[in-house]
Amino acid sequence: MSRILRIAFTIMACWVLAGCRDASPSEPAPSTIRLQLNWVPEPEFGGIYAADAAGFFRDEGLQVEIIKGGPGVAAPQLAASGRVEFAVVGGEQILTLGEAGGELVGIYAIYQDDPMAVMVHATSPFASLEELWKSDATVACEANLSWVTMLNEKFGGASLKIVPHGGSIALFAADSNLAQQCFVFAEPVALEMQGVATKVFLVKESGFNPYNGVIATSAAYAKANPETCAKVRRALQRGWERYLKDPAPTNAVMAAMNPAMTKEAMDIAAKRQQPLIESPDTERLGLGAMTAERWSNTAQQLQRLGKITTLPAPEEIFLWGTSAPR
Amino acid sequence: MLCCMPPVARAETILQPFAIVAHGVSRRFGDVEAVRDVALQVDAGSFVALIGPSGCGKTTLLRMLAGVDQPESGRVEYLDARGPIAAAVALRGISFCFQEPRLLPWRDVVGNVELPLELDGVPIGERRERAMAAIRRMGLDDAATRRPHQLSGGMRMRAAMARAIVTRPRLMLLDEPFGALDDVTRQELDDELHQLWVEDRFTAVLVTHSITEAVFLSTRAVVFSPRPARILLERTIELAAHDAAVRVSDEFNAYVRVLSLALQRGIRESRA
Amino acid sequence: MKHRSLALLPPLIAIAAALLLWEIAVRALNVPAYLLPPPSRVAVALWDDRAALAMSTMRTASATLAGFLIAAVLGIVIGSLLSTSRRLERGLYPLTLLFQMVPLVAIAPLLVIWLGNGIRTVIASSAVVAIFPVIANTLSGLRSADPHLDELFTLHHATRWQRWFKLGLPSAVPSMLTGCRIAAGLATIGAVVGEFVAGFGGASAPLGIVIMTSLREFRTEKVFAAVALASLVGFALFGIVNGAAHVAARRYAA
Repeated sequence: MSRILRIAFTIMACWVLAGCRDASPSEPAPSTIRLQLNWVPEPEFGGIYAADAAGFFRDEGLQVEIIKGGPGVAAPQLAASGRVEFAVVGGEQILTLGEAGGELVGIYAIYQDDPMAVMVHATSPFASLEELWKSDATVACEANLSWVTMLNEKFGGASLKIVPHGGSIALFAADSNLAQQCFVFAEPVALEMQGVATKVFLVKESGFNPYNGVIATSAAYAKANPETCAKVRRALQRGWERYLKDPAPTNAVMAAMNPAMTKEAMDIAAKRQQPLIESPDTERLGLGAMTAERWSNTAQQLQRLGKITTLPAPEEIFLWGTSAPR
Repeated sequence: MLCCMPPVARAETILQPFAIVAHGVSRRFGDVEAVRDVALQVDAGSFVALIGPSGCGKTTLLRMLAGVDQPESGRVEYLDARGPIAAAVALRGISFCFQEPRLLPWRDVVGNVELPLELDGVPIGERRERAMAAIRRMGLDDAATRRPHQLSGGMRMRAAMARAIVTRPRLMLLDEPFGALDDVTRQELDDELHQLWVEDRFTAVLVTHSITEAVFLSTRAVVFSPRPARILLERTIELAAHDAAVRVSDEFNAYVRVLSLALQRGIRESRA
Repeated sequence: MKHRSLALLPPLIAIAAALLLWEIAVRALNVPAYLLPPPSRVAVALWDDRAALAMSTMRTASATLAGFLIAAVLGIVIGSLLSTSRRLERGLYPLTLLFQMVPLVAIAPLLVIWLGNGIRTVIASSAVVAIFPVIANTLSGLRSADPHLDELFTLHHATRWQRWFKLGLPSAVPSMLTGCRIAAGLATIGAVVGEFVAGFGGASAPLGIVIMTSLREFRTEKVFAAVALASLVGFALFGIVNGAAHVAARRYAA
């Protein structure tokens, strides 16, 4: 469930990648396209599975293999090195991996707003991240997060106590004074089903709001296969449209593949994530849309935080519309 | 917790050597009968040698005298001038010498010699003093701070003997202590053991293969048959002197002959 | 002295050769840095951040040392307790074995729940991993005491405590130190994994956190640097224990 476990096992995946080389761009688009998820099947990927079930990829003449992720799956590296054609990654990851030499290009952004959030118990007195940050509460989160630094800059946080995440929700459930990092569609839902009510504040309040759930491919592949990228995007849009209208049947399919989350929980999660998927941008440009402005914004913030040194040109990191990159 | 505290140091509760009487003791191990109905009397202050072929059960008998093994029938009794002594009291005045020196390899000679006193709770000043005295008696002064692996076989046995006398025992039980040593060293240590006995006058029971050793050391020799151990012969030994020449004297050889013959006969009869 | 340092030469040459091969291979095959950085980049990362990394190493080292000491002492105590009765041993030994088999990454979040965040849990994590070889080796060492010496103690009416402290423990010292040698390496791993879940971030984050954040930011050379430093901690601890073992061997060996 939590990102902390995803990262913790990436070290093994890194070194298992043998024959590390960038994908050869001169191959024609293979008939089977591998799409690597960065976690187990859950509502985050609802539109993808919906597109698959309804045959939208097939309609575009594509044979797509959806590969489940989980702890230990280094999805960004797999796409950047060409082991898979597409992978679901975080927007921030596209920028930091690019800095480290792994060039990814995003073709579809599931989340217009970052689903990363901070949860507090429903009984807690705080009504916003600002109030929380200015207090002397205790917040459990991973180390060195960009949005945490930005919150500290914005709201001070001198008396706030930041503690390690701990890897589970048990401590949070037991302590009504604790705040904890979460994904808006995951931990709060699990807690609700245990009978613990929460209030959830999205981290975008910090001003740091990268795209997330970005389906990306290596720069080389995008350059060589712009039509395929466009086709994948179209199929995804149709799949997400379908999922947003009626998530239930896709949730049933995903629940069967994921013993850790019930269909009931997935239904709730699907509802919770909907406002993050639809936005004025998606109204105007279509589901999954990305703008250069948003990307530049995120890149500049990361540069200021010292996480990247050079600002990439927007067209080097995402692809929207019909224009090919570079 | 009582089990964690060392026992209170005992002042010698018995100052005189005591006698042991084994009344018809028997012992078997599974199917094997080691000792059958042995009656043995060891007078206070005497030096008794138990002679017999290998595996005849004399070590088992010695262990019963030590209170380590219990006889299945019969009993072992300890007596001083006034009468019977409780076994528990008697056992506290016993020291042992085995064929292996059984020294703690991580302790030096002093540490090993003082071990019985340490286990008895004797305070460190007193026990060091007594240990050094015992070491000096055994001629180990120069080697006091050496550890067992730095000592020769003979010196290790001396250290074991020093440990045995440091408690001022009233009864010494020796199980072929010099069996693993060469003849020259063996004779040297026999001389020293004799000297110790003359000075301290403890009761001693020695199990040995060596008839010459038995004749030299003991005031009474007991010859056993092969297993199960039965007494074949008891002979009082009185030597005119214990000097360098005694081992080649006629009276010495006479004793040796008598005991050897008894031993041989016992072996022959058991084979018949 | 000269002889001893010459013995170091073959492994040093081997390591240098391996590093050279690594450097050449990565450059020749054009391996991107985020997958496998060349040793030169790792060295640069070590140098650039040397102050912060030094502090991180100290933090991990102190947690490792504490975890190791707890494992050593507790391991000897538990091993001694188990040696007092065969029934106890048969009953509890499988439990300790089970504790050893469960993967640490599963135990670590549980430790956080029981002990909270921070260095307490890191030390506990380190101790949990390191304790089993000490228990096992103490137990076997105590059971292997010379039976002749055991009888000697019986004849001198030694109490149980005297027997354990004056005969059992000294006999078991070589074995216990072997267990401690193994525990030294495990304590390091335990500390780092504990830091994954319970380590505090910030300016002087311990090596486990450095690894986590560097992974998240795809700074693979920094991951390698932190891992190398963690290994160094393990080697140092092993070296100390090994040295102690050699000294003890001379004193306690038969």
